[in-house]
Formats: sequence, structure tokens, C-alpha cells
Amino acid sequence: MSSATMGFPKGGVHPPEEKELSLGAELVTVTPPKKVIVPVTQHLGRPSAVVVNRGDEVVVGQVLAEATGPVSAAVHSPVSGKVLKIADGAVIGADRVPVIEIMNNGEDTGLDAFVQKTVSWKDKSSFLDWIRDAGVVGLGGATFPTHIKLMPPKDATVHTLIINGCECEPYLTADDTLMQWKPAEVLAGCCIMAGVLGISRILIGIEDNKPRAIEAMTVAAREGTYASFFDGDVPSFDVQVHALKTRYPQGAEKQLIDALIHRKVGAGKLPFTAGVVVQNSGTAYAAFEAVAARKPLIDRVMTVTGKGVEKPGNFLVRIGTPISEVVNAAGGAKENLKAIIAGGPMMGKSVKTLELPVVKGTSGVLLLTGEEIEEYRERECIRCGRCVEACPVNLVPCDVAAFAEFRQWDRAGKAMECVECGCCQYVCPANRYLVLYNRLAKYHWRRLQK
Amino acid sequence: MVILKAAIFLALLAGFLSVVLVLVSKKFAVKEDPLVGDVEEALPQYNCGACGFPGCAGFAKYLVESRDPGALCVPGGPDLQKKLAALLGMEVKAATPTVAHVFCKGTNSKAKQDGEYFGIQDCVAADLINAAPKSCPFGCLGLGSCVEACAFDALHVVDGIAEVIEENCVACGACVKACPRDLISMIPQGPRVVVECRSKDKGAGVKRYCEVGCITCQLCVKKCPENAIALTDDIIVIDFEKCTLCGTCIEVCPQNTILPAHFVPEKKEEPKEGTA
Amino acid sequence: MSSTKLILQSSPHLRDDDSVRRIMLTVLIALAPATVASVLMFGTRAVVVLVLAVLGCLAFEAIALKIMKKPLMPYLTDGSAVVTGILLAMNLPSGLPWWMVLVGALVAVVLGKQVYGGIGSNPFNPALVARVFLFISFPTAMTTWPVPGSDLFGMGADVATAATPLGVLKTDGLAALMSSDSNLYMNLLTGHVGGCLGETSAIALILGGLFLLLRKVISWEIPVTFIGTVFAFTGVFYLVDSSTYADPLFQILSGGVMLGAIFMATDMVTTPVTRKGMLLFGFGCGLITGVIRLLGSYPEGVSFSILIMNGFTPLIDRYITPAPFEDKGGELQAP
Repeated sequence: MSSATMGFPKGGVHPPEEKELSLGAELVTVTPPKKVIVPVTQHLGRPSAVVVNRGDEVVVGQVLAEATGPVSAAVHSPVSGKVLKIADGAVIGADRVPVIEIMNNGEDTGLDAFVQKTVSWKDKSSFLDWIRDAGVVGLGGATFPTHIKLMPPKDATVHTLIINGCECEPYLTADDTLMQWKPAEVLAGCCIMAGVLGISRILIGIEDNKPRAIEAMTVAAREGTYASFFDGDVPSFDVQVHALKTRYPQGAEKQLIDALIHRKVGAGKLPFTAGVVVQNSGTAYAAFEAVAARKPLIDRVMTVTGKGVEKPGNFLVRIGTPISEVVNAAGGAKENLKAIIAGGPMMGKSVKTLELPVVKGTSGVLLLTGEEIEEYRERECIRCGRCVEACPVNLVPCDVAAFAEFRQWDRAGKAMECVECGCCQYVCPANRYLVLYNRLAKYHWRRLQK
Repeated sequence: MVILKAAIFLALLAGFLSVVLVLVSKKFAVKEDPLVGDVEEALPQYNCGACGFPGCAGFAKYLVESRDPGALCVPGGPDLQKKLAALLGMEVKAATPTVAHVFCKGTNSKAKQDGEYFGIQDCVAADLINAAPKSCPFGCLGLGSCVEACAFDALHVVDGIAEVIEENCVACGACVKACPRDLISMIPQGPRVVVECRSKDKGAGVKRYCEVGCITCQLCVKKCPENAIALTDDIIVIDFEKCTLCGTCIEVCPQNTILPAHFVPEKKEEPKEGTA
Repeated sequence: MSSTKLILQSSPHLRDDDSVRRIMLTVLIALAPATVASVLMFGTRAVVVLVLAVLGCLAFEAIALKIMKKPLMPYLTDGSAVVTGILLAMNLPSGLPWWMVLVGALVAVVLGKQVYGGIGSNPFNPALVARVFLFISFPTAMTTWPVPGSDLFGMGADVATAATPLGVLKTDGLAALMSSDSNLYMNLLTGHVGGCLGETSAIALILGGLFLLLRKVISWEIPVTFIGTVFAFTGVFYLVDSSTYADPLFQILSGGVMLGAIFMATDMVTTPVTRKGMLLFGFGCGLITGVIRLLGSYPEGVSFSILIMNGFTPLIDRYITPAPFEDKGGELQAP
């Protein structure tokens, strides 16, 4: 491992990390609730198609909705029980999408089928299918189907698998926890994905504010503990764990690539063009479970934190569990709660209620009080240029905002390159709603292009 | 003497230039159908875009050239249609005069709010990030995108919902396009009965967040003597042509979602104010 | 759940603790050394100009906000009017009649800023708009420079006056300038020369500039290219004919170069937002200043140069944008 601290070269911010709030506590397994709400589509891409009916008895891991094309992912039952209804329901970020409600019979029938076994490297050709069938998607939050990212186009030469363990969002510690808890398994997942890609070079990037995760992963890489999960003709892997400078958005895919191999992947281009594939450390663990236990993605590690919750910490939660149940496991919400945010504070979404289900992409929930979040009202741009300095993808955010404010959508096309990381708005002394202007500009720009 | 010289010189110059101007204007005169000018003059000059042309001039040219009987200047109203028919010497269909209407009465006091929205005062923006303060996923956001779209000052946000000032509305339809929740439609002017809700949620859901939301109980559908009310796409819709303003539905509606406008229903004990 | 309303907003949900008000306060702190220097040099007259300019700007700002039906908060309390007032005072001679100062404040706040829509919308630096307005309207009063250090507690126009070093250079030539003051460079640094309130002590201005740099309110690009270009441009002339043209060190220390480069040309609203644009802006200011000083009929050209470049700012921002985020190609570097 290299001891030099690396980072992406331009832009970014360093907000207060606030990670100690949720670190340190044991990983708590949340008891599956009486009723789970499983959204039919939990990934980026084509919606999944429901394959169960109302009244059906389902077991743990049974397919509820299957993929409807290559860029799609299956959804599995996280509990055993009866399908109550298939209807429209509210999820994080949308008021009405199809969801499947299942009454949990509490028996977890079928869960014992997913026993971890030694992986025979001879089955390598099946790894990709198993990952796909398990419904594994990017667990960093983007929820892009993992198997698609493991199938580079024919003309691309992939030489490196980059594992994103940055978790650059303040507050969140789910990846950190997972890497400390199961470093060998995470690493084995990385090897499985590298095996699928037919490459041996694995770079793991972790921000230097997670010394314990870096230590755990470095030890696992050095001692080769992951090898015990495999038998057969296992190739050797060149695993490097890199400590990266703590700077948001270090964990953005393109910034991470820039930091680790000094290549900039331009707007609209895929990491393949730089010869890399980037996967989140949580995704690596899910891929490991999919291959070693043939276990579909029915649970995930998530952070519940903020000063608005009694006992912040990390939780192993079944998909479909209402957020309120996880918050209860964390001791409940406090009276002076001022905001609920699904995800991290820089890119997460405001939600109105805790009665929304945890989905594959839910990396955390923040319950913030007035101490941590303010009611920001925007005022006039004073053209200080701080947003330009902070933008990691070299945009001029104040310009896009000005075009959007005056509804000149045809001139706001640059917004399409915005990754909505929020750095510009974080530094804006006028508290301009820069990210929202960008989103609005994108919406209208897309309409203009039609 | 100097003054005289200057005056003579200027007079000569003026004379010469005016001759040049006349010649040039004759030479480069653009032949235009005088009718186009007349038609353009007859148009209301709102340049509102309701006809699909950016301005009245373009529409006038199109009308004269195409004599398209389907082309309509809605904001001009029936008077203009008669005028145009006389000018163009053709049949012009008289459209029913319409007016914009916002199908939501979920004011701040009647619709539940989950929080306070901080962001661009624009309905599309708030809807994009799912941060509308009201719980109802169908109701008026009250941030005034329609108000901004209206060039005639015919919309205002009052107590969290947009309201149409009918006297100012020319039915250009700009607000209809601006509403991200599809809550504004053009409806016939004059007395009418309207279902003031477009929620597609089930009754129990609606009851959780709105005092005046339609719970799709369909009592009105059953009780309407004219069969003028139907459930279409999960929304109760009144057929204005069939409606006789009898007021039955207004009385049976348990949520007070159905309201009269511009008339007082006879049977009603406590007549409600007109909605405008 | 709590009874207080939840905040619903777009990400990000955090902000750093910077604000417009904080930026303005930082500028005011940075202006403090130069303000003190001006009072030390010009006494009560400087105090009168400063107070009138600041109060005038605040009052006209309040009136303009009222007329435009805008709330007084946060506009009046964010400090922007005070900054405009101090900067205006810095650009006026100390003996200026009181009513001209108020006219300046009116022009700066109303014509320079509020008619365009208030803070953030003005294309030209408000204080400089006022300075140039006064300079053209009242040329005599605006070029009557009380001698620094004399009659410190006096009031009004009854005071010994003298031309600025640049004025001497323009009208009487280099030889006269050099013989007029045996200790010229030291006086330029400490501010013991004639001129506007803020055109005196280079040291005080540089101190303020360093503070602004340290607090990241300004970046180095504009001041350095501005001063550098003036130095280089006048340096070339000096090298060609050192008997007619003053040396570049004199050029950057005298007149409004320091004040302009550090405080006026770095005004956020009226200058480019990108670093590359700032370099071009600073270069343009320096070039125009040099041309006016050496080839024009005015002894000084800093105000005009900044205003002219303010006019180019939208163009610069339109065509000089950051390089797109993409690979320049080349060999793959292993970490």
C-alpha cells in the first residue's frame, strides 16, 4: 500500500465530518418487521416486472419482480409471508411508485438456503449470472445494476478494478463499518468481480479519516485471508489499498478515478474509456454473498445518525423495512427533529416521513436537529466565483443558475454535465439554490431536446 | 445672411433627401396583402401564443394565406371570430368561451403539510425533488408557476393554492402548460358545477391529508339525475354539456369537493360563494 | 415526531459559515489600515468625507430599497452599502465640499447599483462610477489636493494644496517631479503624498490586500496582473527613454494603482468569476492604465481602466470558461 495521500486535483469541499456520531457502536441487526414494503424497481434502468400475485405465499429470497432487460435488476422477497397487496406507494424521492407489501410470518422460511460455501474458481463463468440473479446493484447510492458494469463493451480494455471505499459524504459510516466488520469478505467480493472482468489489479480507495477500515483492508490484503473462501485454481491478485485525502466528493466515481490513476473521464463517458471499472465496497460484499452463499440482495448495512436520533449507529436491515423501524432500533427520534434526510447531507434527499421503506440504495438516514441544519434562504448572487472554484467538474454553477433563474433554458445546457455533488451550494455565501437550479435546468433542457 | 444661407441649404438638402426616400420606397416596396394588416389589427395583440404562433402578426399572415377554418384565436372570443369571418369571408366556428380553472381547493388550512419548503419558488422545481410541503401528491403546490406563466395577471396564489381571476383570463392556456401537476384546464365560462379535486388516491389516503379532497365515493355518480358525472382515470369528472346545474351532487358530496360557480343552487340551505 | 415543521429542500443540506455579510465585513477590516492612514494624513477633512460618504450611501440605499419595494433587511445590514461608502471616500480628495460627497454617494448607490437591480446586478463598480461622475462634473474640486499632514484639524477648502506626483509628472515633466521631493519613494510608501484618501499609503493598502488574500475574499490574479502589467508597460517606456518617462516603481506606487488593483478591481460583482478571466481582466486594467498615463492627456487612468474592463466582464465570462472535465489523453500513469 502506498502511504502517500492522494486526492482528486480540483474543486471539492471539506464539510465537518460528523462521522464519530455513528461510529464505534456495534453493528445492530434489525429484526424484520411485521410488514415490509418492497418497491418493484430499486435500481437505475428499466423497471422490473412483478411476478407474484396478491395473496401469494412467498419465501425469503423468492423473486418478486424480475429484470425486464439487460439494464434492469430483479427484486427478491426479504421475508417469508403473504403478499398483501401490489399497489402504488410512497418511497424516497417519489410519492407514487408500484410497491409490493408483504406480511411477514416471522419464520424466515428459505433463509437457511443461503449458506456460505467455499467458492470453486472453476465456476468462474457463472459468477456474473449469480451476481445478476441476486439483483445486486451499486450500493453507494446510484443503484446501477452491477452485472452491467462487469460487462465492458467489446472495444474496451479494462485493466483495473477500483473499489470505492471513500464514503466521502459526512455523517455516513456504513461502508466504513462494513469494511471493518468483514474485510476478508469484501476483498473476496472484489476478487470475484476482478475474476469476472478477467483482470488482477484491484485498487481500493479509502479516505484517510477511516484509519480502522484502511487497517482492516490492508491487513486482509497483505495476509491474503480472502483466499480461504476459494478453492481451485485461484489466480493471484494485485490488491492495493490507498488512503485518500478526506475531501468531498472523493467518492464520486470520476473523482476517484482521477485520484487513483490520474485519468479524467469526461461528461457522458464511462469509466471503461479509462480502462477501469468502479464498484462500491458494499457492492463487493453483496457480490461475495451472491456468489459464496447464492444469497440475493435482501439486506444491507445502513447508517442512522444525526443529533435527532437517540442512539446513532449502523444497522443490518432487510430491504423493505420502514425507516421508522430502523429509527426505533436506534432508540427513536428526538422531539427537536428538524429534517429527515435519506442518504448523506450533501446529496441525500429530504423526506417528509419515516414511513418509507429502506431500499437497495439507502446508505443511511439522517435525523437532524436545528443545531445541524438551518433554514437557508437564497439571496442575490454576488459573483464571488466560489462555486467555480468548488466545482469538481469544471462548470460555472452561478451562470447556469442565472440562466435558470431567467428561464433561458436553451442557454443552460451545461447543466447536463453537473453531477449534483452540491459543493457549489455548500460554499455559496449568498445561499443560492445552485443544485436545484441545475436540476431545473436539466429538466427543461431535456424537454427542449425532445 | 449666414442664417439665410443655412436655411436655403437645409431646405435644398431636405428636398433632395425626400425625393430619394420616395424613389427608394417605391422601388423596394414589399407587396403585402392589405387583408393581413386588417386581420392583424382585428386580433387582440396579446401575442400570447395560444394559437401556436409566437405573435398575432404571424397568425394573421397564416389565416389570410391558409383560410384555415380550424385556426382559432381563443382569447379573442366570439366577437373576434365574427369580425374575422366578415374580413375573410368564410365560416368561422364559434368556440364556446372558456376560462382557466384550478382543480384544487386544498388551501393551507385544509390540506395537511409535512414541512416547509426551502428552494426556488417554482412548482416544477419543488416537484422535481419531491419536496412539496403538502402531503397530497396531486394538489396545488402553491408556488406560482402558473402565476408566472400568465401574461394577463389572471392568476394569484391565495392561502397556498392558485386561483383564477376570471375577468382577466383570456383562455390562452399558458398556465395549463406550466402546471407540473396538470391541475389547470379550460372549462366553459358561466354557471357550472365543478369537482374541485384531481387526486387519484383512494379515499382513505385522501382523508389522511385533505379535508376537501375527493374520496371517490361515487355518490355523485350514482345520484346525478342526468348521468353527467363519471369516474374517468380515477378522477370524478362532470360533463358540462350534460350538467343542468340541479345541485344534487353538491348536496350529496360528503367532502364538499363539488362546488357551484356563478350561481346559487336552489336546494342548498347554505349557499356557497362562487368560486371565482 | 416533533411539532416543528420539517425542512424540505434540495441537497446539499449543509453550508459553510460564509455569507455576503461576512465577506463585506472582511473587506471593511481590510480597508481599516488605509482608512486610518488617510485620517492621519488629512485629519478632520478625511473624517468628514468618510462619514458623509458612508452615511450618504446607507441613506440612499434605504431610500432606493423603499422605492423598489424591497425589504431593508438583509440588504441594508449586509454591509455592502458601507463598503461602497468607504470605497467612494477612498476615491475622493479630502477637501471636497460636503454636498459633492453626497452627490457622489447618490450616484454610487442609485446610478451605480440600484438602478440595475441592486447588489449583484451592477455591471460597473459603483464607487468608481461616482468618482468618474464627480471628476467629469466638478473637475476643479476633484483635482484639488490638500497637502498631507498640513492643517490636520481644519475644515473646508481653506487649506494648502499641491498637485499629485502624477500631476506634476504630466504637467511639469520628470525632472520637476524628481526635484520636487527628495524622499519620493518613502513618501509614496507611507502615504505622505497628495491624492485621494485611499491613494496615499501603499503599505496600508498592501496590508489590507494581504488580509483579503489570507481570508480568500480575493485571489491573487487581478492585483498581481494589474500591478505587473502597469510595471511592465511603463518599464518598457522607461527603458527606451528614461529622461521622459518615470520608472515603473514610481508608476505602481503612485496614484490609484494600489487602491485600484487591490480593492476596486477585485470587486466580485463587476469582475470575471474564473481565474483565467481574472488574469485577462487584470492585464486589461494594467494596460489601459499605462496607456492613459503615458500616452493620454490625463495624469491618472486607474478608474477609467477598471470601468472599461468592467464593461468587458460579461464578454470575458462568456468566452473564458473553465476547461471541460475530460482527459487530455497521454500515457496512463500508474499510482
